[in-house]
Amino acid sequence: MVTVLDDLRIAGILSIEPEIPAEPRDEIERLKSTSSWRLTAPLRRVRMVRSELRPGAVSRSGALRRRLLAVAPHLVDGEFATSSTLSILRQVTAAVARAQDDARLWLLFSATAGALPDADEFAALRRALVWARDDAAAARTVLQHAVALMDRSHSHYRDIDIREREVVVDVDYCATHGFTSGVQRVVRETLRRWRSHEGLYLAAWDSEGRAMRPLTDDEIERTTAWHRGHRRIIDMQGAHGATVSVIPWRSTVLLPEVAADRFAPRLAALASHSGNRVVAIGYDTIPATDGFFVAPEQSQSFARYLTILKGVDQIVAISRAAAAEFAGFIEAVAAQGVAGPQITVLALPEEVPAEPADPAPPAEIPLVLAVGSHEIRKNHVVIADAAEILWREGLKFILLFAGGSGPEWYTDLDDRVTELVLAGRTVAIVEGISDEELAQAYAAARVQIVVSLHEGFGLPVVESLSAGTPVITSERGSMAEIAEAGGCVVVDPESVTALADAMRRLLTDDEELERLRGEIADRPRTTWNDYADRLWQVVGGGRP
Amino acid sequence: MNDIARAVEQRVEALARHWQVEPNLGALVESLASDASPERVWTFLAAISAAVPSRRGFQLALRQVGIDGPRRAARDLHRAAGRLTGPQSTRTIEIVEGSVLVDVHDTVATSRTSGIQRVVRESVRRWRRREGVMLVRWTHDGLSLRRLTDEEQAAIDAPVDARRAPEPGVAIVPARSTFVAMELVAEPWRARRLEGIGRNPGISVGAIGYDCVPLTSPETASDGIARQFPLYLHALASIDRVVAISDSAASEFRGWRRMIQAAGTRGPEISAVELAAEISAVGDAAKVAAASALGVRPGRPLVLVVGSHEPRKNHLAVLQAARLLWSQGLDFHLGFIGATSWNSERFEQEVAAMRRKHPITVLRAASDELLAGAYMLADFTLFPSLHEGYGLPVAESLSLGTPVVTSNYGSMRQIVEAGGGGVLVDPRDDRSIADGMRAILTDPTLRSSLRQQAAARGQRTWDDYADELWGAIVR
Repeated sequence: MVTVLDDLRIAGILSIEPEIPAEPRDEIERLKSTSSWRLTAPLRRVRMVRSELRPGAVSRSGALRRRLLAVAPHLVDGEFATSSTLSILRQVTAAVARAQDDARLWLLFSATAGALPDADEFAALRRALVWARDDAAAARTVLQHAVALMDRSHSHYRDIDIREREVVVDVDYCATHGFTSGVQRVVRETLRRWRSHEGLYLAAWDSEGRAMRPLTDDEIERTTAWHRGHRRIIDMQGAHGATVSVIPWRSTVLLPEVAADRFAPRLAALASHSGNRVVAIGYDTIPATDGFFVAPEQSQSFARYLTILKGVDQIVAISRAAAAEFAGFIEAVAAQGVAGPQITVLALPEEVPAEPADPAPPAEIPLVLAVGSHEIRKNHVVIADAAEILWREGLKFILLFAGGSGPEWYTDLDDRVTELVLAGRTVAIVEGISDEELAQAYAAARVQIVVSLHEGFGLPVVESLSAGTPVITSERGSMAEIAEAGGCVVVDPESVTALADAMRRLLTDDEELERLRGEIADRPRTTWNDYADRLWQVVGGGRP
Repeated sequence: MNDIARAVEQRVEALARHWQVEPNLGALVESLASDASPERVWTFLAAISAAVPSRRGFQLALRQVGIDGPRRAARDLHRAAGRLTGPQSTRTIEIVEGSVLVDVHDTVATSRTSGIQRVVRESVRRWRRREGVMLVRWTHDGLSLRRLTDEEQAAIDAPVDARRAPEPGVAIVPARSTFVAMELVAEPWRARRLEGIGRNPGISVGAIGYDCVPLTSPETASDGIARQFPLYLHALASIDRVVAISDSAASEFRGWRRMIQAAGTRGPEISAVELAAEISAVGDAAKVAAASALGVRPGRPLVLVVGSHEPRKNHLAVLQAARLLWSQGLDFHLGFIGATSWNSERFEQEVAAMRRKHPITVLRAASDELLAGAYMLADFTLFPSLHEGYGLPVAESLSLGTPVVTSNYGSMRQIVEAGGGGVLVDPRDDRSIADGMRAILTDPTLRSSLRQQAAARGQRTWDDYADELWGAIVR
């Protein structure tokens, strides 16, 4: 009798079951044919939930029971009674209360709710539990807080998958997007090499950012089998509801992407309270310090990401300069009594993205290449201006800007290049260039110029060097760091005359060019294989 | 000759006078050609356009000089000035050299009295009689500096709302001067101009650094400030000096500077001048008024919490700690004085639930006198904030002789350590906060020794602050 009462109480607290539309399929199909795929995301979630409502799997209390049965072995030593759902919860809560341990409480909360709490929700539960007089009251408190979280997360019907002692990698962006910036480059090159590693688990976030979820087969393919130029990737953001919530436990959680603000609060609480070891790859802090270089939304989102970093265990920076940026942030955080993560450096490798499609044709006019997306931070206009100085002196060369299109409002480069073209100068912009074309451009260029105002690493610098082409780059930060090993000339990126002087020298002085090419040959070489191997060691992959 | 042409001619004449050449364009062009240093290019650009150049505008001008030479660049810029539109096009200029330009843009146009405005008013009141001080604000179009009107001068002492008051048509063009950014420069347009001034090597630019909360405690920053603060930081990278309001705030700015130095930007010098905490003691009548406003029963100890209810102030932990002590049988009144704020809903709910059983009151606002009365009435002030640039309630309470329980790090710790009178707790641990409160509430010896220490502390006055700030920020 007690058992029945308990379960009735759970049924009550879980509130009413939703009504399932009689013939939803037709309606979904009809709407799907009239709206875009993205706009029908909520309907697809309904369909996914509905597909879960098979006979025997249809109740909220049934799903809760399954989640508690899944988590209990992780929290209760030895046998536990499985008579009623509430009695399972009571036993698990009692075990957690005895341990007085944030991590166990986080696991209990996450598993009961089928979603991950943010720091406020977690603190509220911890505070409320202080007032529970006995195990039964504590279990009710956990249930109340979990139900509130379920209501916010729509996680009533979810199952959980607890990933214990694995390397759980958050690849939310790469799994759902085709866009390729430097960050996605690192993620895809790395995971391509990790895909068959033992103990690797890839996860993304549900569309509301309340729980981690498994990847679909498509998404695994998109994340691990990709290489640039392979094939066009379709954005799938919001396409996947989730019926399973992934909960890392005693694992290493790797954050190789800059987390989106959609799920940043959950990830921050995970980093601070879950007991998982959390490792983030640190790219740069540009959106926090250089507001004029990024869109305001990016600054806002990055602010939420910085909260996560305060709680992670280790930041693996992509250059010494990037490490110093994060070290500065951690130094600033010390004023609030936060120790912050360990910061290490694992520099990105020097590997040309692809083999050139055709061997480089002998150049009649020297090619000066400038690779990088077209945005204000990349400082491309100064290159056009320096080139103009040299053209007026009578030098002959082609200047090619190759890179992704930047924000729409940034028209300085287009405007400047248009002026130069009208004046008869040999200059062009190409956007959307493939890996093979890029490799060909690197091989054909006499010199490449990267005078960005701020880079975490400067991939185009090392890509050019690995193709054997000398680089004029900035005397500042990570670019100067790369230049140390040879093959580069460094200049003040804001001085048009300094840049023009360096370009003149490399365009007219063949001996200097040969000397730099010689230096390039002596540079130590690292590959994406090296990077992936070392990062796997850092995250402790392959440990028993 | 139309208004625009007349305005451009006035600018040419003003700059010619400043450069001590014949009052015509040809003489100006030759003068620039004879010395086209970045500073002179900046002054030419600012004078001819009657505006403070943005960093980008200044860079474009420098490159134009580099490519086309100063003569052609100067004539192009002059021609462009004749094609300007809007209020800028007819503005005349006053070139100012050897002055201290103090930017009080927000303060003279608002009746609000936030912490920042308090600092600005108290400092500027004491500065304005000094030689060479000129108070300025920005024109409505956000492009040019201008002098204050008489009404705005008066608004330093008597705050009024006057955001869209009529403005004079004369732009101030700073040359070889000091510029002081007294306020937080959060608006994008203003950050852009501050960065532009910072790029002039002849102008020494200083700013007060209040805190780096949106950078270092971004979880407590609203979306708006999270979007704008990086613009402010980007602008600060181009100036000469940041004078922080505490050593702790200075350490945050030093961390930030290390971040930008990693990318090759030198950044400003960082120093600290500790804020004032001047609050006048009040008589028994004010204490009685405070007791009545807070509803404190005679004889019951008062624990006072001052500050808005935003999450950073950690008021949920205060409630939990108080509840722990009440459940152990301690008797005290918990009084909050502070406004509703960003994300304070959870606090409101908790208070509503707890007020039924426990003596809690929340005052949304209080006059200076009522606040002082409450400090003096209280057994101690509780301020376990997660992050502060300064921690004004800690300093105010101590200066009125009332002990504090506050956080064991940052500026709050520094204030307590400079003279005692406080108990330090871990604000992230509710039990630690409760322990600190219990110690004062139950140990009369501790209470009286803390009171003695607090009473022995001197009061840091606005005179002290304004003097030291002047020495640190004006070069």
